[in-house]
Amino acid sequence: MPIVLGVVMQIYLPIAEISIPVEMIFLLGAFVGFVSGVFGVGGGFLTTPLLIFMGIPSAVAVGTQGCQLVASGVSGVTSYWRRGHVDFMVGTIMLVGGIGGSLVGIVFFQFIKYMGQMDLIISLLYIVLLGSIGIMMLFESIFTMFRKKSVKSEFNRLKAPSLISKLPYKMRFPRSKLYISALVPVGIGFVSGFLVSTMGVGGGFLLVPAMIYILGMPPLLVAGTSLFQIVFTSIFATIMHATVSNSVDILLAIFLILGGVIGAQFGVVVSKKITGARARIILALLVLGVCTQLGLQLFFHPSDLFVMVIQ
Amino acid sequence: MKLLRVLIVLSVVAVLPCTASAKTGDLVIGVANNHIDVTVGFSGSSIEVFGDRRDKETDVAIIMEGPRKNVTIWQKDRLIGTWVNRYYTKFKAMPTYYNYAISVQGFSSSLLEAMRENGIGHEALLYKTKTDKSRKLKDEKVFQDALLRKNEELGVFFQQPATIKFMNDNFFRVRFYLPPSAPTGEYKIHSFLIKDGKIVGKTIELLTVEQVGLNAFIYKAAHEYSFIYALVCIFLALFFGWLAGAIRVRP
Repeated sequence: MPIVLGVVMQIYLPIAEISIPVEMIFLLGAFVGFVSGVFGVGGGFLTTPLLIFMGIPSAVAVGTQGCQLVASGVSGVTSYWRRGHVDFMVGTIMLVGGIGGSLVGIVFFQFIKYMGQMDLIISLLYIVLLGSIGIMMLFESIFTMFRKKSVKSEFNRLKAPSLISKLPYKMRFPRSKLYISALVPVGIGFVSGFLVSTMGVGGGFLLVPAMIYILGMPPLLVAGTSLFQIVFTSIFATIMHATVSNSVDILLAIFLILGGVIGAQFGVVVSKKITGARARIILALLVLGVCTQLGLQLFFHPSDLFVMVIQ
Repeated sequence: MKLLRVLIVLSVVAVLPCTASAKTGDLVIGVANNHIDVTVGFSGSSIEVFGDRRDKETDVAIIMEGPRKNVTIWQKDRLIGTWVNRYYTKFKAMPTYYNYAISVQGFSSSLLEAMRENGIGHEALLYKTKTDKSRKLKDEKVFQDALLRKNEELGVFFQQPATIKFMNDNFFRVRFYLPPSAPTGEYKIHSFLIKDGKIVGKTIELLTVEQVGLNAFIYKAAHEYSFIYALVCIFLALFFGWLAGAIRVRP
């Protein structure tokens, strides 16, 4: 890949402690930025597996990804904020869960590292998450495209299940016009926090449907509010990764972010050409592609049966 | 050209500290540069070891080894349809870099024994290593082979030993290659003087491979002031994120 540009500049990453062509990181960042620009997703689900594939230790890949999530989250949330599409109250309550989930995730991360099953667990988590989300998104978007139904009418028909309305600690959220147990947003935030600290993904494509279907939030406020929550959860996860396992590589983060900033510009331009259900079908196929790739590694006879871990 | 080389060797040997000389006083070695700087642009380096043997009837062996760490080799096996890390062998205090060179042509059994005792060569290296393995594991050889192969793939072990180049009867030079993936830390260069299939003298030289400049700064900050480091990372991420939002192409 670097040969295409004519320059091969090796960079020694101080925390990952490996030397890697700088263009490779930059192009990875740009590609993910492009994808996130086109589809309006964080793209962490692509970055973490690709970084690990490039030889970055998985702990550093996940830890650094948290930092990149802060950057992509902030760039998104500012534009929603300007338009007033952020429910700070719901976001803050979700953040409480997010920090809890993040803490549990860090402990879990250290545990699987100790057990020597890091690769397996991270792959399995990715397969389950990407597989289920990809399939749901694919069916939903094909369904929408053929029925020509507007997405909004779909949402309005779905009311919060009765079990959720029975939960205690009810709170009023005036901005979203909700009267619901605080445990629900805390729970959703918890899942997000866990994903940020164990997999380096913001989990936007899990949060957004959860906030619409389970919380019953107005769709207009969902994207901004989930990003608001993800920014703060990622800040917390970055601090934890940096202090507990020293696994945040600032140089890696800077090149990923810079690549992402530039890639996202192109992505936004392209996003005007593909919209709605069609964009969601492409995204679903991309998600399922990454999932299949990881699945193949796990379920097919590996080319190398041995793994070396240096303590 | 040849004269120049000899001059370089002479000058290097001349400035060697006396601690580097062998017990017998018959072997002197020196490293051209015993501080390797790992900068942001680090893409590997060569380590030149120069030496002088008094007696041309003797032979020499040189080992360069990186900092020792515990290494686990996992073997994957099928479990409920998936391939998981199932069996392990832990190798205690394995060098994270290993290369050697030996000038001997024919190996007598007594010399092989001496090499084994002194950890010269891969076989000797494994022979001396303590292991800890998972239950019901019979064949340790498979794990030893995997360990060597994995390290070779990383570029820190070598299938072929380095060569000792004699520039005349006494002066010699060995070049060890240090790949970009080489771990940082204290390296040891062991040298052995061999006579009649026996090791008659040993010396140790130290070599430091260390991150310097920006890299060293970042590494130190991340490990010693990790909270402030985290805040700087976040601040940068916030700044770039804000910038990206501000310059975004508006529809």
